Amino acid sequence: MVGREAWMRKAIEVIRKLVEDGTVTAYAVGGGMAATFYAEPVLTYDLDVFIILPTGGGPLVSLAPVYERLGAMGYAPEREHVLIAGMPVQLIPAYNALVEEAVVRAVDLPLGDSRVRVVGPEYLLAIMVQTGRPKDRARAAIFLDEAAIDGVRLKEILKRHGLAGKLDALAVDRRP
Amino acid sequence: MKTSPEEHGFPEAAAQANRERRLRLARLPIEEKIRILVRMQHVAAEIARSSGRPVRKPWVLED
Repeated sequence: MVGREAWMRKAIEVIRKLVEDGTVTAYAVGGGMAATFYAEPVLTYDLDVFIILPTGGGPLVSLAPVYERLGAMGYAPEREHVLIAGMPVQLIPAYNALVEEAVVRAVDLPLGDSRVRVVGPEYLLAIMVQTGRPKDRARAAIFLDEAAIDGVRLKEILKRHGLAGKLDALAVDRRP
Repeated sequence: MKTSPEEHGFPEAAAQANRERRLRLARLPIEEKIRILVRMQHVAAEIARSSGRPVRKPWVLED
């Protein structure tokens, strides 16, 4: 029997190959799927993967080399996604200092008989605070209730990225 | 500012039961969470279909 996590393991294997051949410097799973590692499952349809490119960050980042390499491996992009094992994977270049740090300091978690790099819970929460969309507000509230958050570490991250004080504004959306 | 369900009049026992259920879900292995996630996608697709909204295709996982 193939485990239910097999599709994700396949996607991660492909991303890992991109790291091994230098197309991508580092990766970490983010978004709803990363949140699901630490808290109750949240409805999501994509596997969001933050990546750091060898060319570095900045406003004019091109994913062309990544898509070319994926194409050579048999995975063609479809709009903003790449289908791997039938699953929509969205590759998101680390778009600011917080996300880049989150990728660099991602945690290695078990996935079946393999491992996967996932954005740590404190960074995930900090990104939700920074992004601040309604769904981030809802996820932040869930996270504060359910995930094992290191408060000191979270405060340091928020302070370092100019987000101190913003968490309280988001955390009022507690659900019954 | 009201911040907790109890302050909004939500019964404490129900709030506590919800909290415990969510914590139980949070502690499940990732494989089980993915199974639940796919079930949520199917429920969401059914609701979207019945209300005439665009349907997002649930994941098709090997099992």
